[in-house]
Amino acid sequence: MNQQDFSTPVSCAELCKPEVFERLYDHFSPKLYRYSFLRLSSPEDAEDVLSAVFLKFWEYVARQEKEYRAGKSSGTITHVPAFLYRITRNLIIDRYRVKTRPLSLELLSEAGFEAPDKSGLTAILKAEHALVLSAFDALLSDERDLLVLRYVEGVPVKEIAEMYEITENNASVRLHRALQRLKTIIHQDSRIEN
Amino acid sequence: MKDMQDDNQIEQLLQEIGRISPPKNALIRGKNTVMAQVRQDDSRRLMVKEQSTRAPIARALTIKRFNYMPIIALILAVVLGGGGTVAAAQNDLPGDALYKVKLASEAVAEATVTAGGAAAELNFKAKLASRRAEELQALKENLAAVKEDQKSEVEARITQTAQLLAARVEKMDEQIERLAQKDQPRAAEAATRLAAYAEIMQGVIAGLQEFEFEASRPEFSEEFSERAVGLEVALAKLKIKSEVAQEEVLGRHASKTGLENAAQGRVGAAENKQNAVEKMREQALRKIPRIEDAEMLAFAKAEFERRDAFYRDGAEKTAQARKELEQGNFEAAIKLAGEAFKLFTQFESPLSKDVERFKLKEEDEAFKKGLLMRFETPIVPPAALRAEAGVSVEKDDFAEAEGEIIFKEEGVIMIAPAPEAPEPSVAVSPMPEPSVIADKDEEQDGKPPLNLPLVKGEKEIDKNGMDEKKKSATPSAEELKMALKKAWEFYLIAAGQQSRMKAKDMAADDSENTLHAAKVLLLRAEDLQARGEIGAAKEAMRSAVEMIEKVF
Repeated sequence: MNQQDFSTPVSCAELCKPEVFERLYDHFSPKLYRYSFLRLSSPEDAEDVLSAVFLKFWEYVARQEKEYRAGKSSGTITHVPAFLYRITRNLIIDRYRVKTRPLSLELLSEAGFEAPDKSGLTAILKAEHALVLSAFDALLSDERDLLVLRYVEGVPVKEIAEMYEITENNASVRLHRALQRLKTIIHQDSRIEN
Repeated sequence: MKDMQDDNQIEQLLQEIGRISPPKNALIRGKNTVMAQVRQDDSRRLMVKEQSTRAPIARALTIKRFNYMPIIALILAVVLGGGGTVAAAQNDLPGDALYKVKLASEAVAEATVTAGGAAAELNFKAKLASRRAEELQALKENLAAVKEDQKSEVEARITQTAQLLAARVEKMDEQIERLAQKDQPRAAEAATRLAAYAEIMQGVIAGLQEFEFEASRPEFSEEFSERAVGLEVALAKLKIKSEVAQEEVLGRHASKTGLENAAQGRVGAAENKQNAVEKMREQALRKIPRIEDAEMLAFAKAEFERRDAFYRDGAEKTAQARKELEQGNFEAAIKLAGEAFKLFTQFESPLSKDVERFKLKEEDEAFKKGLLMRFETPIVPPAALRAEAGVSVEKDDFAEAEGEIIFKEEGVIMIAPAPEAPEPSVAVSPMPEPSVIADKDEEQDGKPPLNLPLVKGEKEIDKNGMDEKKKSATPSAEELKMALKKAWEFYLIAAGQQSRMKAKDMAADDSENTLHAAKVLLLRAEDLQARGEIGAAKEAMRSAVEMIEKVF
């Protein structure tokens, strides 16, 4: 297995190798942490979810590999990213609760998020970003989930549809509605501010 | 917010949020948690994989234990050497058709050998581990021989076998500690043997490490040598742990018997160890200033300083122990001597391997000396081994040959006087139990899976050994035990030397076989001795010693 992004089917026997699993962690952990953080607004919770996701995935992979050797399973995971996002989402739902703090630039900064270049977080994330983040809090859980998955993490619509067990069409519609809702909220917010 | 009129604008903002990276510390913390579990499961999984073939058999056997006992006995006999498929399997390498049979038969034997107590179990585990080490060696040779398209397969097997070995070593590491704590019967003996096995395996792995994997991909070579270094260090640790365990058990045991004798013995052991460490120290002091590379020099100096603290503390404790002994405070003397012994082992701890890895390579001569120094107990030179019963060896050939080394030879080695008439082969010797046959066969079936041409050599040696079986006086069990210990040490020296020579491609063609045959004979001698077959045990040992001499 040479591809770095685990986007094609991967055998569990391969994933059972510690070095491969480590590569998998390195590849997905930033995405999954960011996703959890934006959904849970808490660095502690995001961190908990992060290790829980990989441990769960590891258990699954090890079990599949065992069953594969016993001839009971195909021993392959067709789409690792979708699988990981699904576990993460479920764990987020388990933990989802009334937030003590709203999502904000400060929160991201305090949690230690870093800008891709050295220009500093606040220089990159401007007023608009702050607005978007605070508007997130007003969204429904699912709406926020869809938007983070699709736009922040860049998960394809097809995979989102799989995760939600809905049709692609339906997913697109819901994504569109969520985006419209976000837009409305932002506009309301900015009107209030102005 | 007029510039956020369209969806694209918001999408873009969301994407930008996706570009910020999460806190690295959080990710690393998560990684540590996850990978700890992954690695733990992985090593366990490998163990399970090895045992997976066993589980059904072992279970089936335990359902109606009584009915199956003969079968168990048969399998046991066969694993230790025997006939049929299982016996044929004993030579197989990972990947060969019958390799699973081999593992399965080992597992059955392992599951049943527990009856002999924790000490026996540990010894058996050590034996199985050394089989893995031997397989590694054979696989390495295979790697050079196979065609290009089969290389990756052999490489994978080497990795797998190395992992199996690592898992076993780790397990034994835990067990030796428990064994020493619980003061199981024969714990000291088991610890001694484990130390011997660890040393043998260390030699094998060291040889592998120095081997240039020209035949393999560079990535693999690199990966494997890293693994081998890890293994070697683990084995060195295991050896030292076993030695310490042995000391502990002996010390504890001693307190129950003659305190004075025990105290004298312990203090003597600590002093011996101190002498050995002193030699190493002198050598290091001579060698270090000659290091040219500045980085290496700094490293070696720092390492030496660190170690020397152990030595100094140990020497102080030994002196105190001697004082206490003279004043009649035997318990205090035993305690101090034990502490000193531990400190000395720390001086020669596996980190010295790091120094070696820093290319602190000695000349051959120097190396040989260093190797000899590593044994705290007197070393038995061939001349001494040839000595007849009751002859105390005061000066020895080795010391002369090496110029500098002086052995504190004090042992009286009980070897049978020169034989008069050859005895009939073991198979017809008055020991009708199947285990004897099994033992005999081990020379053929339990040997490391070597390449074919080598088999012939070994058989010849085997025959030699048998022909030379001699009638003997019956030495006491205690004397035999001593002699066996010396024989093991002798073997270890030879094995160490051989693996280095081999790495340099200088080893005599059949020396490896000879050594292996000798090892098998020694193990068999131990088994016979444990069963009370003193005469037969002695003969086996004798043959073994002769073989080792040939290698030298």
